[in-house]
Amino acid sequence: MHRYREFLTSLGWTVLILAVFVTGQTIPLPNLDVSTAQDAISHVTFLRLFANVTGSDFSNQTLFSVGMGPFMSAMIIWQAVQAVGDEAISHLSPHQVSLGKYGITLVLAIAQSFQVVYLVRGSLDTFYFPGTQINIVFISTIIILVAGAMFVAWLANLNAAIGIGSSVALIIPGIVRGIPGNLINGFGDTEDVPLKITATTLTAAIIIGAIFLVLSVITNAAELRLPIERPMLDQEHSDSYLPIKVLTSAGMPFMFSSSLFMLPRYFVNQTVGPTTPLQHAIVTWFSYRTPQGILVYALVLILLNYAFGYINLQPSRQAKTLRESDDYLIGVPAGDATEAVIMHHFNLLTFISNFLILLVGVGPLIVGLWYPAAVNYSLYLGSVLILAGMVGGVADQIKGLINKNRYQIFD
Amino acid sequence: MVNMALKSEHTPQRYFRQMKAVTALAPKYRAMSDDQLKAQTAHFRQQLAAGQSLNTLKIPAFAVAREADRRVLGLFPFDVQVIGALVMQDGNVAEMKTGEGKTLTATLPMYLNGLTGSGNFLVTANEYLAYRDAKKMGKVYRWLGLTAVAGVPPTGGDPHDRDLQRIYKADIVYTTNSTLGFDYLMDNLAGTTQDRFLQGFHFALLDEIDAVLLDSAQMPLIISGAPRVRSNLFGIADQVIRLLKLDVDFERSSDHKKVWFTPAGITHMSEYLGLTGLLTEKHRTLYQHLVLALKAHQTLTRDRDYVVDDDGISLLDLSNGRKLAGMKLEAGLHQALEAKEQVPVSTQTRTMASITFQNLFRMFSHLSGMTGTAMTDAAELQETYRLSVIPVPTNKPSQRIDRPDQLFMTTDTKLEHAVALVKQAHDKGRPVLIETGSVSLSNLFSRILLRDEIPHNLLNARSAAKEALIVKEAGQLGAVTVATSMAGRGTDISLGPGVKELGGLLVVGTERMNSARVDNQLRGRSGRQGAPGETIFLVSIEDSILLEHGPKWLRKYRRQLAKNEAPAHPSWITRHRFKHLITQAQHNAEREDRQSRNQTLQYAEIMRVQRDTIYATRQTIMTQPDLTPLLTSVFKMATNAFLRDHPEPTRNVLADYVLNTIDNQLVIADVIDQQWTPQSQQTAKFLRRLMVDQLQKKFKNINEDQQVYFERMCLLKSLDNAWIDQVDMLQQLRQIATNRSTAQHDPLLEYLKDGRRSFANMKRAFAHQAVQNLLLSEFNFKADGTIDVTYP
Repeated sequence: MHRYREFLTSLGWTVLILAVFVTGQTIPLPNLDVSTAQDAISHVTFLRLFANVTGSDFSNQTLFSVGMGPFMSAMIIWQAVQAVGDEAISHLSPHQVSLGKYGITLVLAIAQSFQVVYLVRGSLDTFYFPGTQINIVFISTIIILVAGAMFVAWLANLNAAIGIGSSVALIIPGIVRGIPGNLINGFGDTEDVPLKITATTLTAAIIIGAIFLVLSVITNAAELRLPIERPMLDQEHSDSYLPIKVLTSAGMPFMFSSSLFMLPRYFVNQTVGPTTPLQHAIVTWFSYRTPQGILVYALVLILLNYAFGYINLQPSRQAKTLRESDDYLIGVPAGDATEAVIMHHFNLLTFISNFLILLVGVGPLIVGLWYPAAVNYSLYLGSVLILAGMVGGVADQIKGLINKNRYQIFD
Repeated sequence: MVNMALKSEHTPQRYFRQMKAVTALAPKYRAMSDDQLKAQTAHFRQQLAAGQSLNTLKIPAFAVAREADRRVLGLFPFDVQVIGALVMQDGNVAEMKTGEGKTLTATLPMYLNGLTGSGNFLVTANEYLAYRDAKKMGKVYRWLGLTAVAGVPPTGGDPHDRDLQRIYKADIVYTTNSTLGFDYLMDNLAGTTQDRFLQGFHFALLDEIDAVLLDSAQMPLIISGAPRVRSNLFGIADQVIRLLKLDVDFERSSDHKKVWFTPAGITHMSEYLGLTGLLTEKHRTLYQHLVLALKAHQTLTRDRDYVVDDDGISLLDLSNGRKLAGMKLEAGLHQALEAKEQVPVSTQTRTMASITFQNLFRMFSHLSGMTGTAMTDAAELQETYRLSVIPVPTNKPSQRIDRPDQLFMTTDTKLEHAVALVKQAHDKGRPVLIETGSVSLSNLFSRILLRDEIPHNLLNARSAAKEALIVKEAGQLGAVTVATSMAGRGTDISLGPGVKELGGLLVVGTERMNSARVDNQLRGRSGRQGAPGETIFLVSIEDSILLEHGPKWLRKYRRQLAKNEAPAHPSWITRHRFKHLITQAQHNAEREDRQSRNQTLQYAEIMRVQRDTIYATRQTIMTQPDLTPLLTSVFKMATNAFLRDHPEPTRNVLADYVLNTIDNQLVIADVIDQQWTPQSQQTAKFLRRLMVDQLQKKFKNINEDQQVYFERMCLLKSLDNAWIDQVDMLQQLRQIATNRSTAQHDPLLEYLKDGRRSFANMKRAFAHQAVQNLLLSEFNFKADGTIDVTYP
């Protein structure tokens, strides 16, 4: 018991936090006709897809419908700001940093809540400001959703501080829950062919998924290690290196690729179909079922892979840190030259990882041109890749916590 | 994370009630004769033995100690001092204004805890204070029948001359944090139980707790020994660096704390040295020395960061201006500095044992403290040590006047103004204390005063020996004292006759320090115990705190000012923009310090677990009557380690191992068959049997006591050697891990992993060496029955 105490304490907190989170996701929004609201939102595919991977849940209108979405986006935006921002960011106090993160979260939460409430406006009941005849249901519903999102952001931070799996622990359940849906309904738009669930298709899906999960965990761990010299250390232990992951972007491109790709289709009426030439073009170039669309999707993936990779690695910051700690890549002067070397390796690795990303994201789509149901594997495997990225970190943390106090001299 | 209300602005009511209970007992003990009062100690000890808790004895014991204070010292602790004592007994930090007699307050909880026997410490940051108070306050405890000693040698004494057994057996020990830390480490290097002297850690009362736990927390205590290979490159590197130019060959960060070579600089150095590929592995050591030399020249300033005297180079503690005795810069920087200052280059040493103050004081079951200035850091004390800071009301309201800062454009105008202030006060005969930011500034100020023919004393790290004398004079009529931040702590300046009428001591600070707490300490030198006093800080935008932590626009502003060569501002600046400059810069500095302390804490935790394991194992080895199970385990570990490196050893490899670890006189042909085929399972068994046989052979002529003693020494010696390497390793791994944050690795987790891996390596090294020591040592039997052992 004693040796696992820290692990069990952290685990207990995470269970508690997840319980609160999941409970909140089952409490329906007040003053709302849930069944018509669901219909209204199910037409907006990109929103549903985005919700799936960022811990929001738009299929049910609950207190935490907006949920983790704004917080996740805020984290990524913050990282991007850090990647391009100069010293100014690093001089902020922890208090200011957390104010900044929560500030972005709040803005995004208001925007997303507005979006959701706007979409379901037809299903809203009336709710009068106590003692008056003023209907405030629109505002009050937004406030509830924003409050929910901020509360979830706080939960995520709490879990990062004392639980297991940092803040992403709160997204993992949503992704896992979304996987069967991804497999069966795919992108869930009108062109979609649901995968028929039979014993064969299910077994095939599970086997492919399991094999892919193992492969992704391995790929996620793969990294290039550039040897560093550290003059301030002694020669005896100079086995230090600068690691660059092969999958620098982890699964992040898949978190945003489909929703980004589906966004333009929002401007085409789903029931009537395309009417203007522009709408026709959109339908052709932003479809999973046309060669043109597949090409665009591939470009979106590559772009995101590169962007997230850069944000995660931050080569200029790396070079600066190395220079300020007197370390250097062997044979390379500190500063610009070092940054160029890091950039060079990053480009090479991203070039390689693009193939993997395309294989997962676009491969099923190409097969889908002939066997339509294969398209669903694009989302399915994408989710598995996201999951693999998160699980690796969590596993490391658990191992650390369990082993931390386990030492003995005599075996 | 979670913000709680950590500051309580008022003293909780329960302490007033308890204080009244203590006061109510005063007449009872006042009526007692000396002998009756002394008998109370035995009485309390009986009650403790009968199972009473310290808490129930608190009220009467405090009353007894209070009465004893009156009879022995002639000082009867005030009510507020009793409140302070009660606050501390509850495991809190008592914030008492300076000059409220903290030393006397401490006697109450120290007496109460001293009743339990040894293991109670009063810890200060200053040896002089520890020794003085042990002498002065010790009288009270001894009068009451407890033993109380100083854990530190008298000023100028040799710490090795202390009788450690006697010191740590005492009920109450007055000591310093570093003395206690070093003694703890030494205690755990002891060979036998008889050599150990620490009697457990029960209660620690930390005087100036913020100085002990916060100011000195970033640097771990280190016992170094075992020299490294000597390098002769320091001199060459130093000469090369002298040829380089700023902004051409190297660049500096804006706070001057970091410095690096430019590509042009690397080319130039290669030319001077006549070589190519300076950054390749081949010239690693040379480049390392060049980096060190550059750092020594550009980031460390003589008489600010260190002083050069007969003993060579001594580092200065920036927060209190004192010499850091025995501390050296790590990783060869100290040697580079010696080359720069042209003093003999000392040998580099390896870390043998190390502990942080945080970990040291967390070992106490009961920790409390007192200070004049902890409120600013209450949150950190709560988070790290679970100590609440509780303010204690003042006995007499303070009459001190704290003037607002005066801000100047340049250092020159600032100093001119400071001299004018001193002159003005000096003409009236009012004593003045001038604080300067560094040794060199204090020298400069002293020269200015000499020029103006103002007699004064100079107190800095160089004149520390005369400290007591200088402090004694500082409050007299007409005294002028120039000091570094050294004057800030524990120096009680009492006012001479006639000084009160002039307005008390005037404290002039010529620079704000990195922490508001240190500034407040300096202010506290004036207006003690309700006496009048006045303080003022003069600052300029060229001060180092603003250089290092000021905003960007200020840098530009300074540059513009320098270009325009505008006439120096006639008076101080009051513009709004500058109003919060210093406070803001202090916030920045404090934040950095705090982050670095927090990091130290997290990394130290990993080392602590390993250290605890080692120390516990040492204890087992020292006390266990039969070591056979441990030896079996060691043999197994050593065999496994060998097979790990050579899963299928050839006959030659095996023979080599047997000769070098088990028996160097063995005839291999007798034990290993010519047709020997490698098979792990059998090899392991074979090796273990060989080891057991060899040990039995060795023990043939030795009696059982000697056997156990020998086994014990072998195990301890090997374990200590392996652990020394591991401490050194952990120290360095920490640096390596911090750079791995790139590939989304958590540096702390990386450190943990590396630490575990090296711990496993250490175990193998330990087992191997233990087997060698046990089996290859040579015995030399002497006539008197003793044996001399020569280890391999």
